[in-house]
This record gives sequence, structure tokens and C-alpha cells, in this order.
Amino acid sequence: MDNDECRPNAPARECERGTGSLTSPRLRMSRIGSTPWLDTSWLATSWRCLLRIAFLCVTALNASSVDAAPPTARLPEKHQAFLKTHCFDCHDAATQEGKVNLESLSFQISSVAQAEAWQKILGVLNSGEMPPEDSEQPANAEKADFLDDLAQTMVTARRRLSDAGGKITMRRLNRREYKNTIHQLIGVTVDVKSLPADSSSGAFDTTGASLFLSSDQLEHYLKLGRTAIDELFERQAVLREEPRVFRVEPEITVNPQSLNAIRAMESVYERHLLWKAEVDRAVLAPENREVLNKLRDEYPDLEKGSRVRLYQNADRLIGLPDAKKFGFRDAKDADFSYRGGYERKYAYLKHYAELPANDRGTYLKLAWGIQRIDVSPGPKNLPPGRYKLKIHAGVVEGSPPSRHFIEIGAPQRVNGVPAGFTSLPISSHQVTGTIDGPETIATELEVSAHTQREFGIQERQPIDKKSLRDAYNRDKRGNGYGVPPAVWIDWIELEGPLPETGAASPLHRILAKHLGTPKRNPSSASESADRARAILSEFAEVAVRDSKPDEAFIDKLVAIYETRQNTGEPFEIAIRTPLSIILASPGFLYLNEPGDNEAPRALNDRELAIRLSYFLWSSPPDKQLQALAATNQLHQPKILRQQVDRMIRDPRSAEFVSGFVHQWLDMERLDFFQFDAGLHREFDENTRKAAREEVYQSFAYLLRDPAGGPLGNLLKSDYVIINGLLATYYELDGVTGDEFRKVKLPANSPRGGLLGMAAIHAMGSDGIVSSPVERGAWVLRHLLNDPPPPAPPNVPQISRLEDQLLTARERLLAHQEEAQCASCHRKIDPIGFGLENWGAAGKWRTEDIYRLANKKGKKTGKAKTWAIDAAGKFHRGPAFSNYFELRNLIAEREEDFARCFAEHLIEYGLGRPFGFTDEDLANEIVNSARSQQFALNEFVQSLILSKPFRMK
Amino acid sequence: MIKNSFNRRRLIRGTGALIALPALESIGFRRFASAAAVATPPKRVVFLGFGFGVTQETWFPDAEQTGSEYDLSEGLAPLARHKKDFTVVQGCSNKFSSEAHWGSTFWLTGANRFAVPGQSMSNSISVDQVAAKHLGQGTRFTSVQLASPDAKSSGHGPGLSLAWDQHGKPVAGLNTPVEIFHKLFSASDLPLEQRQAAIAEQRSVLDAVLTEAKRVQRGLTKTDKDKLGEYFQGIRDIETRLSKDQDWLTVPKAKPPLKEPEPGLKGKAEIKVMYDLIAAALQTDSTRVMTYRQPVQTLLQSLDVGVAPHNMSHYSPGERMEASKQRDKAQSELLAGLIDKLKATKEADGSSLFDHVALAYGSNIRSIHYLDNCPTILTGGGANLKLGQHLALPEDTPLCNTWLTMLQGIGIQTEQHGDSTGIVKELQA
Repeated sequence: MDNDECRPNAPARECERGTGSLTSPRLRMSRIGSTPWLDTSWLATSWRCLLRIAFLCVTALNASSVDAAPPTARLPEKHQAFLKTHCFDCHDAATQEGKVNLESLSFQISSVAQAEAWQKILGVLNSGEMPPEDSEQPANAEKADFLDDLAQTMVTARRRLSDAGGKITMRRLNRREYKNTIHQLIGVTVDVKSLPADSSSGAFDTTGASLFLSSDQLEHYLKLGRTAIDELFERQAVLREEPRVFRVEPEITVNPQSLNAIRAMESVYERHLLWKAEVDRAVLAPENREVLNKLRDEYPDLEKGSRVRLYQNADRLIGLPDAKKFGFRDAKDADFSYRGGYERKYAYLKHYAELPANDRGTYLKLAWGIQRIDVSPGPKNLPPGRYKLKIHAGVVEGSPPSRHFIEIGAPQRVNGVPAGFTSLPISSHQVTGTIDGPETIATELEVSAHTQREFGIQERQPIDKKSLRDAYNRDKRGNGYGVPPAVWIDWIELEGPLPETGAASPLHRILAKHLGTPKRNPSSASESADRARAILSEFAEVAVRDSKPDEAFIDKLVAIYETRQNTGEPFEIAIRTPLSIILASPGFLYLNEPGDNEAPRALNDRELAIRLSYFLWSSPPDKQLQALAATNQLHQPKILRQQVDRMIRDPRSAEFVSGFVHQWLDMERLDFFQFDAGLHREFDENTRKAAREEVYQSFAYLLRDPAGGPLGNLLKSDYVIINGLLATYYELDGVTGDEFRKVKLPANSPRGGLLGMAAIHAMGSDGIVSSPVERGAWVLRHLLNDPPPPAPPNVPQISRLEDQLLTARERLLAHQEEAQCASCHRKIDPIGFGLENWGAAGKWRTEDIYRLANKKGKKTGKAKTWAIDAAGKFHRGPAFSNYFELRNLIAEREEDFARCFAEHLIEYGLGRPFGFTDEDLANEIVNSARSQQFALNEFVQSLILSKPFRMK
Repeated sequence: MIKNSFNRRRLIRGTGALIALPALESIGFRRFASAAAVATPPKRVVFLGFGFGVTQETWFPDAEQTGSEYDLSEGLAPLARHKKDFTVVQGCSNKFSSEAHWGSTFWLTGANRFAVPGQSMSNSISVDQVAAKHLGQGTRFTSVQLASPDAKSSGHGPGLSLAWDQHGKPVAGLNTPVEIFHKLFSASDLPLEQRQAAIAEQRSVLDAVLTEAKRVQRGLTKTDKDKLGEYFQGIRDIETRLSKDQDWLTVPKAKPPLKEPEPGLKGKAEIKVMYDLIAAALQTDSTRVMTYRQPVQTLLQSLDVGVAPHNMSHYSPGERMEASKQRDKAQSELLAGLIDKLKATKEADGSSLFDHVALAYGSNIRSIHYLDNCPTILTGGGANLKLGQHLALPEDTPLCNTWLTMLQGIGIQTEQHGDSTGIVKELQA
């Protein structure tokens, strides 16, 4: 999915100011259903046990007494005294610390909001967060009494509210769904970047209530729809032609250019020497003494023996022949042509030009010279469609494996000079052949109306070019020419547009049916209107997902067609506007299900098919689902189960995997920072992409495992799902190629499970150093289901320690100086420290370093190096002596992880914020999955088979 | 066809505002984009938002020195020549704001993101759109939104421009100087009949989808009907725009007072041209309300700063902080240039455009992750504010109080905007 698609349950940053975030989308319930650490305080406190029992009763009660009249939920008045004694000091109407006012909270729980507030109170008392440690604590008996009653009241409230809450608001297609749906309908990929991002708001992008629409957006839909229809016609016209092949032989396109550059440099060099001799002579002339003195005043460097400034300013010398005589513009040009050209690059280009196999191909260059090979047959020769790109290449023996990758992208030129890609690489590929035995890399590329119609190929590289040049200079100091070659390209071939494979899109079929007849030009206007009507009504019916638009709508579309046709537009043009209107109509844009808030009903099979396919594919139902819906079989549990199995094995479920996982695990953070290429050279955009994909693939592997892949494997596993690029990054041997596959890990590998993935650690960094706080909070939030309050805004950044040589741990202990920081950080930081063996970009390390900055802010000052100590102890929990023990302890918390996962899955799948009223559903799903060893697909099955999923 | 339920006059009356609409009959006699020649130049408002805030250590003047006798800070130094003509305001914030990377989403609205239960995001009308309701009726464009494509990486947050409409939905912005130039000044090549036909077709399109919306609406729950209401509202809003397009169909666009910008400008050069376009749009009275959501990423690139904006925003002493300061300096230089331009542009009555513009410059983010003390500079004589001073207001003064003061200053009689609690008296001249 697009990197900018999803904004997961982003912290609302409200810890201090807005604990009153009762309307926040993902208010966390207290963890009465989860297993706290088995420490002694837990065993000793009887009320917690009581609470557990009360909780178990709820589940039982709910199952049996659905029809009972809703009782009132009221906490006995006597408990006013408890609140007054222990809470009102800070949370009465006057103080409202953290914006929590308990004085105004009704003891009668009659709304979801009130229940959430009480649930929160239950939670903070339960966890011991409140009353704060430093204030007087309620006696055990008193507290137990209060909590007992509160828990009971919550049980009642839950039952009372479960029918009223949890509405599923009709949802507009989000950007992903809109794009997929259009693709399925007409086989064209639209560029949705102009539409507002749907999930930037913190909820899942499937949450109907948060998916808004505005007039601007409506206009965009009209425009995008038209662009898509235009492209369809363009594609169809092209498909009648044979695919073309465009071949690039770099020994013809690149090498001669390089040779020209070398010759030009040689000429510069010769002329420069002649000119320089003149300068050197002029300097000695007595009449220039004054000029020289002046120059020395202006440029103190001259005193130190550097003559650069002298040559740059040579025009000021008396008696020096004009630089133009030597073919230079002026002295500056005479100087720079040499220093910035010959001196810098000549040896490099010459070295490359003299390498073997230059007559058959070329070596990719980094930093200087022609670094990119372009495949530019001209826009006219690249009409929209699918293309196959083949690259015949090999690597230079002995070059580092991390350099054996090429990237493909859209060529950028700045002032006509080639300069990398216009955006992130489209894909990266491992080069597996050698120069004597090159191999072919083949990949498919899509050209759309909105994509640049040419491609470029270069060695993988970080976006920050400065680091490349630094590396070049380092190499040059060593070998005299610069970066040694790593990849050799024999030839590149682009073929296409390829014929469509698979079934034609519905619109394609409809058009073919009505336009493909021998009578291509209907004789009368009425005949042509009839044809337009047939096309429009058939397409409208498919577009609104097998519902029937009103005849009046079709009439109006036909009228628009006729108006255009009357102005002389040919049929193929006049039909486009009315077709595109369908793609902006509400029946298409909204997943609408008639219903009544007061009287929920079961979905019919057609609606169920739609809900199902948008859940698992983010696209409309396919033929099989439609057929089962049409014959009213889909809702039968057995058939439904089979279909879910089929759907998750279908490649289209990748949409669910990326869409859900990205948001669930807060993976937007992965794109937050640009990684410092000097420190993390290998973590370029290709690695970032592969690292993201590893998370998706690991999830998909479990989801699709026919034996029921256990969710717990995400906490710890003895395998990884990686491709050649990541294997190189992880230094695992024997894995080559671009496709992801399961790789067994050596014993004692720190990898395996989310905590061993580069993406997760990169998310917990700022692109330079690791952030134990982000990592610790992430683990609590996503793995342990114990989310810390979101980081409050306006908390000072701790930079007062910048100029001291401290370890990361020492630096962070400053967090715990303040009580309000310590309350969260004592939970967060130990976990983060336990992960310190992972560098900012997710490479394993045993040492860390801190370096002071110089006056200019460059980190070149004194340094402190220390061995990483990952030992620690969970707050009120067990101790661990290293990363491996920490991972084991986290892996034991499968139940908490399962609960957390279930809650998010419900939110994504039902398209509504997980709320109080969904607690029972979450329990049901977790229970059902537990009976299958927490098989990932059982969570999905169980949600789909649940009542809420099948009700409107 | 949709019946005339979208009548322009009735809709505006419906908003509760009292506005004198230009007589439609006179439209044919207009010479340029504006309504009939005006004796006093009209009021204009401009908002410039810069996403990730400023370098707090070097941008804000010393809070101890207030009033007119204060020293300009390092970050504001490029504005020295205009010191008497702008006011720096400290102490304002939007109390509901809690998103540390959203410098623009709530900047002009002061809204509570969680105001609507069950919805993770809601917003309300931005101050420029309030102004547009009053100032925008007599010009070809009710308001014009300028934006840049790198909004996300520049710390602006959700939205399509700085502007949010009266339903709290994002208003689209134009991303490039060339697009804006064409919107403001390029005459359509099409003959009048074809342009009329195009408007007629757009009306038919709306009419068609309205029919379909009515079908979809049947049988929906109350909640879903409310949701579909957004679609109906969208249709109505487009219809309102079409009516205005229709009214202006026969009036030629203003002659551009500047050349068409070169395509592909980025960063500093791009912002400068956008500022020129703002001055040009106001000068020709094509619109009286403008906002600009400025690029930060490309600005940094154009300054040859090799630090990404978000990295920069998390500055601590060192390379990132230096980048942050360079950004401040460049932005102040650009603003100074815009003020020069506004001062140099003369109105029909001999006064300068600057005298009639109320301009606010700032962000919802102060610095790093801080959302209090939003950086704010006010300039221009349009809102009759007391310029040339440094104001340190009490901490957590609603930023909307400043916006309300501006609204009242340009003559809009409204008592509330966002979470305002009153006006800022110290700002009134």
C-alpha cells in the first residue's frame, strides 16, 4: 500500500492535558481479561481475583440472557465516600487534574460514554495507577469492596448497552478500496494521491464514521473517473497492436559518452597545464607583488601554502594571457574545469573505461559519471499498459554483496543533467549472475496515464548523495580512482504493452459486447442512444455492486450522452462522461446497507459478500462470491468458512494484510525519518521497503498456513520470511532472489518474530540513533496490550545533556527524575533498553557510541563507547538478563497479544472504533482462537462468523 | 435539472450573514474581475502557514521586552526594515490541538478533533472561510487556496490547504504557481456558448448523481442518512460554485500584472512566486481572501540543506538546529519581500495595497513537538491592528482570539470563532 495511506491508531498525545479523551477512537479498556505478571502483589490482592470471577460471569450471562429486559446499571451511592476520600483531591469539579472530573460523573451508567469513563476508573484502580503511589492508599478491604461493586455494575451496564452501541456506519470507499474497485471494474490503476488521505485521522481507514466527503472530493472523483475511462479506451486501442521491444545496449549508449567525457577532460588537463604554467610565471613577476599581498590578506589559506585561491583569482595578475586563449571562460573556469573535472573524476572514468567486458556492456557508476542507464523509447512508444523489463547483468567478483542490487525508477533530470529518480525506486533487484555468466532479471512494470513514460536503472544507493561522495573520496584516497565497480550490465530490454491476461474487466466486456458488433456505426440517432443506454445501465449495475440504479438515473446519463453526441462527438468519446459519472455516484462510492438503528437485521447474502470482500480484499466480490450470494448460500456457516479460506489464500488478500498490518502496528513510523546514509548506508529506500514487506509477508504466511499458523510466531519464531536483499542485510547466507520465502534460522539467532525485524526497530529510531522509549512504548502498545498513555505534547525534549558523554541509558534516566514522566517511563524504558542490541536501522550490535558535536554541529568530537547492557526488569514484573530472555518473556504473553490483535481486527473488519460494546465480541474471538492454538486465520474466521459482522 | 433550490441569494441569506450582493445586471459592465469600481479599496485577508514551526531559541523575541521597544530576534532579523509594520504575538495556542505533526490542520479553526463522538476526526470552519463569506461575494473567486504537494512531509497535517469549509471539510488548494496563474488570469480559449454548455453539463451531472443519491438514501438508518448528507452537501456546494461561474461567465478575467511563472519552481523560488501571485490576485481584486500552505521540504532542498523537514523539526544543537535556523531566515526573508511588494503596490486611490490587507503568518506548531505559544506575526493595515509591537499575551490565550480580533478588525461582526473567549484588546489600534 502507499506509504502515506495509513495512519494507525496514532497516539492522541493527550496524556496530561486530555485524559478526558472519552471520545478518542481507541480508548483502551482495562485489562481485566488479560494475565498480569504473576508477581506476589497480584496473588495477595483478593479483589483482583474477585474481579476475574465477575468477569467470567459476564461472558456466561451474555451468552444466555440476550433477550432479558435491560436492567439499570447503578453503582451504590455509598461509594461516593470512596471517591471523595481517594479521588476528589485531584479530580473534583474544581481541580479536574488531567481534565478528569469525577464529581460530575453519574452513578447511573446509561451511556457508552459514562461506561467508558467508569471502565477507565476500574482500569486505573486495577493497575494500581491510581491513587498515585505517593498519596494515601485505600485499605485493601475498602478498595476491594468498591471494585467489586463497580465490576458488578459494569457487568450490568455492559449488557444494557450492548444492543444500543456499536452501530456500523455506512462507509465510503477509502482510497485503497476506491483504487482497487476501479481497477477491478475497468482494469485501470488510478492515481489517488489527489484525494485526501483517509486514515490520517487516527482511526483505521475502514471506519465509516470517520470517512468524510466534501464537494472538492466529489469533483476529484468525477475527474479521476474520467481519466480512468480515457485510459481504458487508450489501452484498448493499443492492444490491437503487437507488443514492441526496445533494447538498450549500454556499450553503445553509455560507453561512448564516457569516452567523450574522458577525452574532453584530457583536453582540459592539457590546456590547464599550459595556463597554469603561465600563472606560475606571472606570480614570480615583480609587478604582481602588490596583487599577491592583497590576495594573501583576503585569503589566509594562501599563507598556508594552498594555491587554490590564487588560481581562482589569477585574472587579477598583471601580464597573464587571457584564459580564453586556453579555451576557458575565465580564471575560475580554468581552475574549476580542472579541479572539479579532471582531478576529481578522470581517474575514475578512465579506470572504468579500461575494465574488461566494456565492449559488451557497462559498469554502473556511483557518485560521478553516467550513473543511470535510461530506457527511454519516447512517450509515444510507451502507451499505458503492462510491460516486461529484462536486465541481463552480472556482478564483479569480490565486490561486497550489499552492492549486488540495482534499482529501477523514473529518471529525473535537473537542468537537463541526469540526477537519480524523481521519486522512490519502483523496485530493486538482486544481481545474481557474473560478468562471464550474466543472468536475466525480469520484472513487470505498469505504465499509466499518470506515470512517467521512461525508466532508469542504477546501482542501489541512498538518496543522500553526499554520503556517496564521501565514500568515493575515501576509496579514492586508497585506490587512486574511487568506488570500485560492483555491477555490470550487458543489455536491457523493455517489451510491451503485453496482452491482457486473465478475465477482461467488466467494462471491457460490456463495451466489447456493444461495440464489437459488425454494425459499428449505428444508422440512426435513436439506435445509438439505445446502445448508450445498454452500456450505461449494464455498467451502472456492476458498478453499484449488483444493485439496480433507478431508471431515472440512466435516463439522465443517456441525456448527457445525447447532448454530447449532438455536438458531433463520436460515440467512443460521447459515452465517456456518462460512464465516469457512474464512478462518482453514491451507489458506487458508498457501501450502503439499508437498515434501522432500532431494529438490527441480518445482512442478506449480497451485502454479506460485499462486506466480506472489502474486509479481506479491499475490493468488490468476485464471480464465485456473487454466485453464492445469488443462490443464497453464502451465509451458511460451512460455505462461509470455505469462502474465507479461499479468500485468504487468494493473492488479493495481500490488500488486507498490508492495509491492516500497517495500521495495526503503527507502521507509519517507518517513514517518519530519512536515515542518515553515513551511519546506515545499507538502510536505503530498498531496504526500508523490503523491511516493511517482511512484516506483511510474515503475517501473510501465518494467515495462509493451511495448518493454522499461530499468532504467537509473530512474538518468536525459528524462521524468517525474507528475500535476497534482507538476507544480505541480515547476513544470512544462501538466500538469493527478490521473492520472499521462509528461511530457517540458525540456533540462537536474535531474529525471528517481530522483535527481530529491521522494520520494527527502524520505527523505534530517529534515523540516527535508536529510541528505547519509542520501542518500549511500541511493545507495550502492540505486543503486551498494555498501552502507555500517549506521549503528551509540550514535554521538554531532553537536550540539556547533549554536551555530556553519557550512555543512552544514563541519558534516558533523566526521564525518571520527574514523577509524571517516571510513572510511564519506568514501564517503558526497561523494555526499550532490553532492545538496545538493535541499532537504529535494525542491525545487531554489541556496542554503542556517543559522540559530541563540534561548534558547527557535526558529531566529530570526543566519543564514548560502551558495551550494550540489555538486562532489566519489567515494572512490577520479572527480570531478564539479555535480549533473548526479554523476547522469551514477551513470547509468553501470547494471550495479551491475541487480545490486542482481536480488538484491532474487530475495528478494521467492522469499520467502527473498538468500543466498550465490543468487549464480548473480542472475548468470543480470543476464546475461539485459543481453542485452535491461536491460529491467525481462526481470528478472522471467528470475526466473520460472529453476529456483529453479519448484522446491519 | 435541479430546481433553483441552490439559489445563490437564498443560500447566503441562510448563513445568517448580511451581505450586499452586487446587482447581477451590472456584471456586464465590470471592467475587470472586481465588482463596480470602488471608492475605498476593499479589505483583504491573507494567511500564510509554514507547517513545522520555528527554532524557538532564535525566532522569538525576548519575552521580557514587549511593546514597540524590543530587539528583533536572529530569526526575524530579515524583517528589520518592516519592524514598525508588523506585530509579533506570543502566548497563543489552540487548546484542543494534540497532534505534534499537524501544523496547519487546526491552525485557523481551533477545532476539537474529537468533538464528534465515534468519529476520529472532525474540524470546523477556518477563519479565512469566515472572512470569505463576507469579503468573497463581489469577486470572481470567493477565496483562493495555495498549497504545495509536499504537505505531509512539511508538517501540515491532514487537509488539502489551510482552509476548511463551514462543515469542517477540507477545501482543495492549487499546488503550483502555474496552475494558480492560469486560474487567476488565463482566459478560456473556448467560445462563450461552449463554456455555457460546459456549465450546463456540470449541472446535469449533479442532477444525475442527485437522483442516484436519493435512491441510495431510501431505507438507510438515521446514522447512514446523516453520513450520506455529506454527499448531498457536496452537490449543493458545487452547485453554488457553478452559479457563481455562470454569473462571471461574460466578465473577462483580469489582465495579469506579472508574467506566467516558469514551470517546475521549487522551494524558495516557488514561495517567492506564490507571494507575487498573492499580491497580483489582490491587486487585480480577483479575490480578497487567500491562504497559502507553504512547502518546507522543497524549501530546505532549495537552501541546499541536506536534512529532511521532520528530522529538522526534532532539532537539538547541531546540524538539525542549523537547518532549522536557515529555514527561519529564508522564511523571514520571503515574508519581508512580500511586505515590500504589498507596500509598493498602489491602489486606485493612491494608498498602498499593504494598507488594506490583514495578513497572518504562523503555524500551530511552535517548535519541535510543542503546540503552545504558536508563532504568530500579524501585518498589514487591513484589520486596523496595532503594528510595530511585540506582544506577550498570557499563556494559553486562545489563538482564535487573535483570529476573532482580525475578523472584527476587517469589519465582520462576529462574536465567536473556534474556541475564542474574546478579542485581544492589546492588538487593537
